[in-house]
Amino acid sequence: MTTVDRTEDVALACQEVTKTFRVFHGTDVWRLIYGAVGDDAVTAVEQVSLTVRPGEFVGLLGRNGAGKSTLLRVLGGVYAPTAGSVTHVGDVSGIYELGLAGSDRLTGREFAMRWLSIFSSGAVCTEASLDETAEFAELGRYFDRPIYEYSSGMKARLFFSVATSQAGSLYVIDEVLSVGDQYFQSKCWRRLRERIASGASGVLATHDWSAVLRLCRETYVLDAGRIIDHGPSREVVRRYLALPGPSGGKACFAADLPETYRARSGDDTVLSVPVDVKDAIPVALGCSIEVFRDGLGWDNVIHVEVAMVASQEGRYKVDLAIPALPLAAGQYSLNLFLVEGPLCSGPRTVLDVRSWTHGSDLVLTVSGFDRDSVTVLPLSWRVL
Amino acid sequence: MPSRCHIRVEKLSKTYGEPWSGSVHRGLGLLSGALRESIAGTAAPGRIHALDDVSFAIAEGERVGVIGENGAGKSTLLHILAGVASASSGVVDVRGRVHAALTLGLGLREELTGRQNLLLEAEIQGKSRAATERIIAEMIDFVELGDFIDRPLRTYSSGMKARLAFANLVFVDPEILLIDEALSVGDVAFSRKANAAVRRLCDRGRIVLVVSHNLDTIVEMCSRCLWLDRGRLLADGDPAEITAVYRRKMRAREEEDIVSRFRDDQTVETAAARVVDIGIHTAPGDGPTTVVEVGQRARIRIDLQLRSPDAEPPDIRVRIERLDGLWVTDNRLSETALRVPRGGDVRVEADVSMSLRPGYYRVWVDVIQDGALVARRCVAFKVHADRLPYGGDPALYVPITMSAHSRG
Repeated sequence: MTTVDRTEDVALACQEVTKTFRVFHGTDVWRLIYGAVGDDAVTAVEQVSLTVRPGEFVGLLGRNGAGKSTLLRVLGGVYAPTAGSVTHVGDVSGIYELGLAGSDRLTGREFAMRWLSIFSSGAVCTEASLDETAEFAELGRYFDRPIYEYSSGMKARLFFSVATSQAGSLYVIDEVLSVGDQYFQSKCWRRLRERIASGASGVLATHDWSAVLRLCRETYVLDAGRIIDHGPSREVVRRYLALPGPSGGKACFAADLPETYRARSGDDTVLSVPVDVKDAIPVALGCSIEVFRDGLGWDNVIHVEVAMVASQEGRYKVDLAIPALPLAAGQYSLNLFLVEGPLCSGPRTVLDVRSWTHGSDLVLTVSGFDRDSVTVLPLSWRVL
Repeated sequence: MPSRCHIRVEKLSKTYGEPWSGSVHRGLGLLSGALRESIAGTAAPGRIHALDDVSFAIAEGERVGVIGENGAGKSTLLHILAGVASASSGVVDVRGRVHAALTLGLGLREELTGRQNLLLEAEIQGKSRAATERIIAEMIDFVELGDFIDRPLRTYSSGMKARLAFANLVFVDPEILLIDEALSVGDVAFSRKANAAVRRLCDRGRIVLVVSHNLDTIVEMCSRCLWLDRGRLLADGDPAEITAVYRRKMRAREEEDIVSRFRDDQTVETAAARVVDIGIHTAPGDGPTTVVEVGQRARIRIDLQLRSPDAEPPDIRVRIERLDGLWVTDNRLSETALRVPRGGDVRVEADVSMSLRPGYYRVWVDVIQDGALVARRCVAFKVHADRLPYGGDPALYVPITMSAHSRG
């Protein structure tokens, strides 16, 4: 009974998956035909287990060559695993780094038709859905031109548009969110969020940690083919970044620094930060206010540039004055950085930190009108 | 004394025919087109003029940035200078040892190991064995491929291949260097290293020609700028001046673009009300605009037609949505003491500082009566900045002041 419940709870999973590639030195085809085992083996993915629950995207972080693309292709059914098993509920739509399926002599339209007929079971490939795909990809007349005429950006737009054109249930996505101009990127994000909102799940592989924060509740870190970390994205990214901790001693936030600040939406607001400086050194403060929304991820809402606050020993109160606090009611993450100046150049010595990247951020609770937006711009109205 | 290197291009043109897609008919069509052209002296329809009568000369020591929209002919120009493509007509005179970084990974051999590829490339470049041995360790160190350096290339991920190709690029010693596009390679740490390497490389080359969309890079790195537009050389001169004009032109084009990209119509109209028009105005007296600067004060002008004089006066809701789905504001007229009249043609204005991150947005105007939506309309705009007030990429750019006081 419990086993049944568990499988119903999984959209995509792999258990102990290992993928080994045989390496043949030289190009003797006969050895392949006779089934020689190869001179050497490269293990691209080793003993990887991961689980994606329905309605959820899981992040896969790792540097180049960590095995992300291989693992995605195993999950998407392009490669058979050497060992281990992959289970999924429904069809997997793969958005691989360099596209898939077919030759670059196909036109964009032909590619879309072929892709849809292979990968979407029972989906109707109508003129209307093709037109919609073409419009999303913004290929214009190139949609009816062979793919070899496309720039890499155009290819990526085509692949993304085609793979997300059907409201599929399961996606594996490789880096694709870094393609195209700003406009196209935001369109991609928006489409993925719409798909997630309507119950889609998947895996997003990337080396961009901010992307997993924006989309994924949970993240795995892959290094040299193995999962080396796994957990809630925010904590995983914190460990992945492994930012240097405060050097301490010379200056720090005072003991009476509140854990929670309170403010009212739209009010002129002052956040007072107590700072103790114990040495005659230049000390500067920076600040950011960030918000996390389910399914939409993290947004840095307000950022305060690092500015000098003291150069002599003493106890200080630093006031951050925000006119007409442009935040809607809700809870925000308040991050403070105390660094050693001067500010002009070079890496800064971190003196003290209260930040989610160090697991020590403060809370800013904003009260006020209930709104659908995260931020509020003050409007001055006039009726004529 | 004549200089060692130069590039001289005179009346250079390049035309492409209809794409050859392997069909005999197409091939015949192409042939007949060429015949017709040679007989009648006119280009066949469907021909693309990638470069059209381009002339310039580059002397030793110049760092030249090439800008232009997609399809302006930038890559074609570089391909011709590199000798990869031929000119249809005109003179191309390139003196000096050319190294072209046009497509990363073009010269890599799949069967060879990473190390063998690096050695082979050095040999092709005509380096001596001693010189090669001197740099090979440095290259291998640079690419950070670990054990993979002695494995065949076909076992590499695409990111790893890009790194290797990149090492080939930055460790050569060219006289004339041609670089196409942002060479974005690999993860953050590596791309930072790669960018620094490109800078050093440009310092060494005698002539550098770089194609990039990043105008700041062009201004920073180049002493001269060529602007190509639909195959023609539109401007040639100081990078700061030319990029400024280019930016203005791109902005104007963007304005048209926004209107055509946001075609989807969300308009709602009922018997009770209609939103006739929404305009964003940045200067009194000026017409509506679709591009505002970060932090610019703007007036959202809303023209309404209210048609139910017997009901309660409706509420007006103004929301701004970022294209990726973040709502950046949600305001109602009813939060203020103001009310619209029950009926008639009404104009409502809302002034707002557009302290938003650069990007695409939509203003939504809803008319709500007794809790129900009776009219809706939206209009798109773009927030633009040549240079941001500060980093961090926040959703809002708010003027915040910081002041320190001694606590004694």
